[in-house]
Amino acid sequence: MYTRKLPPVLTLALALMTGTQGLAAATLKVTPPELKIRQHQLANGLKIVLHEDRSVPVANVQVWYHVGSKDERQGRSGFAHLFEHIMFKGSANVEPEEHINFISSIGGRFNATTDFDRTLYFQTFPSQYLERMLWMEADRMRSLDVSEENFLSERDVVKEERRLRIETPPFGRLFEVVLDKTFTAHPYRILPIGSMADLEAATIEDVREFHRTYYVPNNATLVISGDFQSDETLGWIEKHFGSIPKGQAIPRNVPKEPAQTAERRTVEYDANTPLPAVIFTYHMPEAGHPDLYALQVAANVLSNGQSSRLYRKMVYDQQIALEAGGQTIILEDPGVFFFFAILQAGKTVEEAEKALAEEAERLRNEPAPQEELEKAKSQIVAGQVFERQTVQDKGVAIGYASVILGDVSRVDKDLAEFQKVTAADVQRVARTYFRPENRTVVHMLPAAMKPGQGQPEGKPEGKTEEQP
Amino acid sequence: MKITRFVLSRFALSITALALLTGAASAQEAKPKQTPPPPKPAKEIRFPAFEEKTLANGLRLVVIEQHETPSLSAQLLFPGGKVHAPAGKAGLADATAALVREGTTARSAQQIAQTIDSVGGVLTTGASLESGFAGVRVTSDQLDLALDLLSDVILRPSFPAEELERWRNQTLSGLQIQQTDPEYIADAAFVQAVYGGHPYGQPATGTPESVQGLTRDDLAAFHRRQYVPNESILAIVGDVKAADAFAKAERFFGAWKRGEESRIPAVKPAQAQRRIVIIDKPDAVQTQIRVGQIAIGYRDPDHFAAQVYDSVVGSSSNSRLYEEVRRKRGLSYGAFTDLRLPSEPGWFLANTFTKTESTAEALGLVLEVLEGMGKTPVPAEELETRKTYLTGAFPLEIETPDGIAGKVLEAMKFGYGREYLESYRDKLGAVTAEQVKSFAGRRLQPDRMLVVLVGNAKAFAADVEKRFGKAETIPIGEVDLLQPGLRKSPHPPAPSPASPSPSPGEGETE
Repeated sequence: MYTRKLPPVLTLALALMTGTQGLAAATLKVTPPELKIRQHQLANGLKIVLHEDRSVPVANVQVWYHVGSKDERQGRSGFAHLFEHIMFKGSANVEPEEHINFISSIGGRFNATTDFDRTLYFQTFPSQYLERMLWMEADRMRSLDVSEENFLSERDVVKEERRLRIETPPFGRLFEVVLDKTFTAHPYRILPIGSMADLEAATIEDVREFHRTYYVPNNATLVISGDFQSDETLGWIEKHFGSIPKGQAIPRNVPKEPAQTAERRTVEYDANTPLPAVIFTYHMPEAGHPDLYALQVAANVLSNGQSSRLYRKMVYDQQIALEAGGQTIILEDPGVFFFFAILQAGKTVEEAEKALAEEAERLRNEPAPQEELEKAKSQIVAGQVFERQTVQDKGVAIGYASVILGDVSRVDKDLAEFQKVTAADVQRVARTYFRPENRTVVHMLPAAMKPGQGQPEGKPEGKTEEQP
Repeated sequence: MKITRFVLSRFALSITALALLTGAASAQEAKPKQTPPPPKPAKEIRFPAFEEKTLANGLRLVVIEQHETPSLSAQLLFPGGKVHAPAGKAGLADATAALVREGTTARSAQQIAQTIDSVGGVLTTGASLESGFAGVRVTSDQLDLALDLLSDVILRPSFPAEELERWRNQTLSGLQIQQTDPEYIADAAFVQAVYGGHPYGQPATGTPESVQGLTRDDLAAFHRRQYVPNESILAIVGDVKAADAFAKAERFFGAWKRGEESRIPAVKPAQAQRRIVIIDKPDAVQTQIRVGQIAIGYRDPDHFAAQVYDSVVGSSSNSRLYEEVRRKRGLSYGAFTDLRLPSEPGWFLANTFTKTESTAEALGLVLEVLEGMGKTPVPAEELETRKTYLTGAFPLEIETPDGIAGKVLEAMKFGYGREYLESYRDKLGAVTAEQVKSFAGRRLQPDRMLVVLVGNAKAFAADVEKRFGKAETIPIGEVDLLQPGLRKSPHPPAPSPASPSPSPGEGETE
């Protein structure tokens, strides 16, 4: 079921968001293998990136459309993701659901994901079906054929998805609140799932227009990894995608986030927040910016593994937090570095905020010891080895470099850049970005803590482990 | 730990359409269509090579060489699952697995963390239904470190008292989160109620009450009894040489002392009539729905028919539940099944969720799909599609050494070997529609299933009772996941005395 199968996808998404690039460190003697890549572009603008790996007879096809929630117009939040669902509802030569039925019928696996910057369709399957998969992807790029009825039903599905992920689970609204407070003008303010009201307002005409505007070859990258012959495959691609007309220039008028000049603070009380949480966000540069190497190393120093600083201090020594960390959310436009702590029962947000602030300060004030730097780099090297084992994972790494970083060769070259990061670099980026006036602080608190509130309605006492 | 992954997953900002749709593609009015390109000939693919060896202490070793990436993993499976915990000790298997990595006679908790973090590796320990597991993933230049660390935590944990208290406080906070999560409550309530007291039904992480009661002696005794080589399997996979891996496994695990064999209590037959439990969460906007029953064990002759049944009903996004609940009506984002085949009879479970107003409608659809399985044989084309869904994925499943190891370990755990792994696809392929129908009729009768609903009872309970029969409603605050009846008893016994544990400091947060 999707609840139990989801984590790999979430992990993948998280990996994408956090840009787990690599580098080599002195501790490890291995080097991650390079991904051999062949590139091509059709006359209509479609970019193609191929990586042959003949070890197992499977292939992975990914189509990256360079459109995400940041491209949505006002009042249509959630549309890029809703549209992603619609792409499975039929095209000129493929019936509604046929895409999915076919992949399943050959033992293949597929999915699609939408984030702020891009929409990604992917499938892994026995490699003898490669041409058929290309034909199907080409058909839905060329034409979409969706009934009003299918559209309305799928919109209800997306509303259930929102209820499931945001409105019902513990901490479901945490990130929605944090982004809303961190960004004031840029559409990163709103999660890709969007709002119920905006989903309700979407129409089938919006669907057609979105396809016309963004689902065009000049806005797409086709990434194929696995068991195939590049020459033969390029022939198939030309045959099936070559005649799709090039679209108009892609509109890129995304509002810019003004520089933050003073700290912002928010306290939010929420019914689905079972334990207090403290989040700091700091604005940081866009994907591809050279400061991100050192910021990623800082994130590892702060929170990768049980010997990391925030785990050690807040979870282990002080026992303030159930979880604590500091991580990057690397996005195509400037993203955020966030510090977070989910508090242990009975601890205060003041204690947690103090501890998080101390660790931000420590990075600003002291160079990281060599040992911690080496450890962080080993984690990045090993991570790159572990995260590039399947054709799917390789395709994601290649597609990310190509579409978001705009340079596919960075899929391998970034490792060397991580290697060059010094303690002084880490301290410099901490000083540059972990400034109080660049910070948004959110305290997300259980509704029961709201001043003047007694016990919340309908929540009998005794459901927690509080001791007498 | 699970809780960590749970909370962190909220930070994954990308969302997915996941599993979409299904069903025989219904031909609408014919359009002139292109003919899809035909496939190339399929490539023959056999189960990958692996080598086995057994140490004098009974530890079974398996090595799978694959040299594509410079990484390796060592995975140990041992009889330390939740089923092995004594009565009244829910959460003990999890606790023991969590604590072995928090201190050994040779290393402190922080030294263990430092050791694995310094090479960028990952150390995992945990407990599932009837196995404990421990694994290390490292780059291939770190085989010695991996086996040294793994053997240290498994053979020589010291269970420091302060580490137990640290774990207890964290777990209590984690449980506080879990117990507000409707998905967790629905799953945990289902297994507890369906097993009526058998340890398969105990909540894996325990409850606040049971976690308070765990002592250092409990953990040490569980370790002594269950962490034994003679029922364990160690798989070393990836960029290694078999001879080297065997030699090093012997060096690090040769001194592990044999213990007694474990027994798993017999599971009683499934309940005789339908039972509907509603857990009332008045602020819910969505209802979690579970429908299922105790089914069969792994070695049951119906194993393969059950797999096909599961696939027809709900293992993927072109199975029947998905078709009916999501694709045709948009009532949910997901509708799937869960078939567990452990040593003793496991469970079959259908799972979905829907907005409060459509609770009875969605439940009705789930029951309808299940009822159909025992009445009518699955049409030939659908059966073939479902079987290929299962068998065709084989090359995907053996893409990584860990994927191969998962299959080998599962077979070996149940006493099977290479021949079984090689014939598995053929056995699935041989299942007939009649076998599936017969299995459904004998084993999975919807009128005897347990139904668990977690949501705003006031809005749907009357409707559910009118359509499906009498229901018991339990306010979420009165749920006790340790009781087959799911209710807190009016005068709960005082938790057994634990070592003094710091109070979570009630009231400090206000």
